[in-house]
Amino acid sequence: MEDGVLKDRVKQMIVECARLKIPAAELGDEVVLFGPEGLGLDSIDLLELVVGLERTFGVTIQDGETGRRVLRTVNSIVQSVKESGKV
Amino acid sequence: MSTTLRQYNRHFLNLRPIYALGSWLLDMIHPVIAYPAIHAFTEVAYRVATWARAGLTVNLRHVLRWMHPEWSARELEAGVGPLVHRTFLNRGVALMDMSMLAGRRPLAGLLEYTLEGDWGRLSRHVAAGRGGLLVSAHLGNWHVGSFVAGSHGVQVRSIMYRNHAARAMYAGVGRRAGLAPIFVGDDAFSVVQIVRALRQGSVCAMLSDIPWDSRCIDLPFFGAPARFPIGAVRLARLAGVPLFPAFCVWTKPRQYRAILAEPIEVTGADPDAAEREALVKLVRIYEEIIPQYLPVWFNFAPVWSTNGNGRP
Repeated sequence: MEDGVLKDRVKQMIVECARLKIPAAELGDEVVLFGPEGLGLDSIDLLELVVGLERTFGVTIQDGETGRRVLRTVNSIVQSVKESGKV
Repeated sequence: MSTTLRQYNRHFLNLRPIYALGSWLLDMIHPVIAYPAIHAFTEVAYRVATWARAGLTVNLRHVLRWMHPEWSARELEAGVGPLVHRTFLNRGVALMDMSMLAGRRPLAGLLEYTLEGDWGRLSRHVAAGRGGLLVSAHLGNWHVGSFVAGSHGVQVRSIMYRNHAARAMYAGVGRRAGLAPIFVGDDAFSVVQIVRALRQGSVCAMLSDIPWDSRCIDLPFFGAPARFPIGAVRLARLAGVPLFPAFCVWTKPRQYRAILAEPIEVTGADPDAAEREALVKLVRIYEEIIPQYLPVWFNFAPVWSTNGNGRP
């Protein structure tokens, strides 16, 4: 899968999981997803993202530390999906 | 504006030295002396903890009014006062029992309990490799409930907020009862551990009746809207496990009744509707069981708002 297409799919997944009220294309590649300095997603959004990532890309988040690293930004998710070799 | 857990826990009784000294003392002295001692301490708490007394009074008055619509205002107030007092004293009993569970006394025979509901179903469910989420209200002694489940071969992972003041007591209970707590609150990423545990077939347990600062929806509760957190139903839906409403109540110190209700599946084409339906079922169960054990309903935060927002 091309990088651009993968990035669009990741953004779409984030928007759907977190029920964001913005078009997926407007989501910045390096916007921090969790925490007050970024989108400010919470633990409920995180639940959706962990399961969404697994369903959409087959990528399993095994623990909180991995989650913190992978689910930081759009780019970090894209990177993790690419590294998983499942797309 | 909801009450946050941090606000709720910020009071002079919720201090580490209080818990440490109390636990140590209660562990050292015989229960025959310890229970009256905790009774006296709780009596003091009842008199000075006006914030907790006020919240409890509002809640119990509401439920009593719902239970006894025929009562006059005078009858209602005559019922509320003693009930609030008794509930305070029962909270002391709960802490005493917790202290015993966390302490050094042999576990054998420490607590007596009877089982109600199909606990075998939960055991079979776990044996089949499927996880489950035990959900309860602030009713009775939920920590003892996890201990009871563990005694019947169902190891429970308690999902709980960190309370630094009571950490040693919870650690003692966890160690002795074989519970492995999962702490939430400080870090959103702790939910990853919960999802993994549920999906790997573990049974987790959480309280699901006070929203604190979490996301929630308004549902009718004893005849008026109240806010309930969606965390439990969302977890169950996404992890693909059922909710098992469970309660551990008592009528005498250390004599418990562990109640397991029918499981609730959170499934359906519309996820939001499925969650709402499951939460409605859960709240109906709360409405059935809380009036039966009202003196051990330890909800000190006002449930029903007077400003129409569900909570003050």
